[in-house]
Amino acid sequence: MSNGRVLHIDLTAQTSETVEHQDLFEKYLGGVGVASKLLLDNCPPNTPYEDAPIIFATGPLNMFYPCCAKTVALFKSPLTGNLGESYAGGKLSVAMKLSGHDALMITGKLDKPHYLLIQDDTVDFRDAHALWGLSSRATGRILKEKAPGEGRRSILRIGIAGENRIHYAMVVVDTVRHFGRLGLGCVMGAKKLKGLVITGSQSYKVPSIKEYRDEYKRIYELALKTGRMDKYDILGTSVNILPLNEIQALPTRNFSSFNFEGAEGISGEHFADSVLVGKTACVPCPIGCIHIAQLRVQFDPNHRDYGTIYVPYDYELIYAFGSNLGIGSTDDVLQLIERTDIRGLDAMSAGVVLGWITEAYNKGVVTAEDLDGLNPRWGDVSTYLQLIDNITEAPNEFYLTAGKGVKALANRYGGEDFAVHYEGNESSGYHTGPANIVGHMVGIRHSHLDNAGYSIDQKTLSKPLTNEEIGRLLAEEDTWRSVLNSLIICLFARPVFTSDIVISSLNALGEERTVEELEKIGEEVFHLRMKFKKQEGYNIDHLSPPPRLLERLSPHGRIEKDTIEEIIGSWRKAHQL
Amino acid sequence: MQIVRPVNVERCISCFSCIFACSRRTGHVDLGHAALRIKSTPPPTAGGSGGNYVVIMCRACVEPVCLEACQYDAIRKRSGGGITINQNKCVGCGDCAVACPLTAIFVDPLRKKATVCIHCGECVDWCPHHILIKEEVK
Repeated sequence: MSNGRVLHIDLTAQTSETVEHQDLFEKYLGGVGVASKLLLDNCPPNTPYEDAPIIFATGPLNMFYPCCAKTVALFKSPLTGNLGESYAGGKLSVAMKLSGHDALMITGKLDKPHYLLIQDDTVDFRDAHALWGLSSRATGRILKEKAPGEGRRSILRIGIAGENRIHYAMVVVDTVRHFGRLGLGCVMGAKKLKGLVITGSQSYKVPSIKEYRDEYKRIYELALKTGRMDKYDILGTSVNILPLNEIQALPTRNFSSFNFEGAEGISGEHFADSVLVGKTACVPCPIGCIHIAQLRVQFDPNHRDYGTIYVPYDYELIYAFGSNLGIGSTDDVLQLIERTDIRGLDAMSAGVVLGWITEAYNKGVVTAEDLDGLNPRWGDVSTYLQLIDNITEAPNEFYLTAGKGVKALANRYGGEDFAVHYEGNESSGYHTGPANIVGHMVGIRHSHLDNAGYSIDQKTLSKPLTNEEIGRLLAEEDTWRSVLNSLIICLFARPVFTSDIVISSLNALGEERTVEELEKIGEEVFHLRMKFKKQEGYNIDHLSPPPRLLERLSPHGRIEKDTIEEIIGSWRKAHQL
Repeated sequence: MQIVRPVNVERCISCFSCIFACSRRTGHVDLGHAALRIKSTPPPTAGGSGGNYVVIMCRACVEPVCLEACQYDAIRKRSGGGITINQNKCVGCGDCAVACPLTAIFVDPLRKKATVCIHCGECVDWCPHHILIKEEVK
């Protein structure tokens, strides 16, 4: 249920106004659909990222149903120079609904650091001079103490990486969730926006409370009592480490191999049995997919001084800082996650950058002098911690470049053949086969989440499909995920929200739609973003896969360029591109 | 009479299923009509960002101190413990919430009315970790 209200905040003028956009929510559902239209309409071609708007949007299902707790952020990505699209959970979507706004559009930039306090229709621009230079953790704690709305608010903040405009800086949302990918933290830092607190006290009534209660119960039981989401509820995404390692698809030592000898030590099972101390959930969602580990750190061996830190973990972070760096210990992975978290860097990009640096150093592509005296070796966690600090602080030209990602590093120093990125976005943790590669190449945000090629690859190991069929499946997934991301349903809840459930859940909120209609809108939303990407220079004719992934065997064997081209051809045909 | 209380609260994942069940019972989708809250507590040691969650709700006091705090005669004792709040008389001043040792009465800023748990038990079945239980009391 959406009221169509978009809160427009102008940072330059320090003003705000609520704009009615019910028409957009009718046409594009909400979420990424509405956000795409707002971005296209408010971001002229080639706008620098610091001047481009940031749009946060929720969809009609947020707050109203279990597992519908994601918010989308669209922005201009500093990392790729093109569309930035990222999703975060936590309490943000509920807090936005409570504030009475389905979307926020933040334009302009501040001349001095501030944070925003949004309470219903009121926006306060609060001085953040004293917060500038503080970690994401310290900032979060201070905002918790200073801002009202405990238990009914969401708190976003950046760390020093965002302030220093590291191109893959992220935004922490409610301590354990993130707008991780594509550099939203850098955009906020460039706008001198240290944080954002949103809360409110709005109330909603549905057309028929009985019908709504029945529908809520149906979805709640599908989520909890049918096993469809057990994977996320029990071990969480880290359940993937061992099966991917088993089929030799787990990126290891900068994607140089895909079977890690230390996989057992960083498996979801091992994390759970040795360091898992709690689970938590987004709101409202009964699945505790957020897994929190305890990291016991030694401060001073002589004094036997120890402390305890709580660190959330997930599959992608474990791959990026574990197998990808030759690290096989839970504590070492957790230390790296924690360091990037408080510094405010995207862990996935950071892991791929550290992997590239290690290989480049081993091959003499970069020297100890470039690295300011550091000698990275696979598995050497203390050097990796220093590298993360150096990337954040950028003391020399090398680290300044490292803060722009592996594409920039390869452009400057060479080593393109082992820089694993798609259009500048560092790869997620899969080398399952051709569908995964093409899915990343053509995906709107160059993520495994655009169209789940990794999943197609795993299924086609036993039941092969033609390249034409794979291309079509990727396109269908692009479209359906555009629907889910407009509503906004967590992608983990895909097995719960089958098309009939999506339709009935909308009906119970008074929104009549058909599956055909949704698919049509999904396709339109896909093309809206493609239009923005083309406007910013994206060209499907000039896509190239990461050379490293064609060179190394996947579970499907060697992947030929022809295969990739055939799948892309079929994908283009399906999208009429 | 029945009361509802949290047990094994360490298992709480802060999913708000109980809170939304409570407001849904009143026909609303909001927090303002919900009579319980989940709060995060500071971590057990310094330096970390993780703590435990706690459920904040009326303990069904037999001698409720909030009763005396109300200047508008809106609060009555509930049989079996706890209180009921007359929504016509309540002005949402929040004195009862201040008086409650647990701050387990919540003023909805939108309606300017205080909300308290009436121990109906609606929330109990919605907790995925069985933290809320119903108990018979005299």
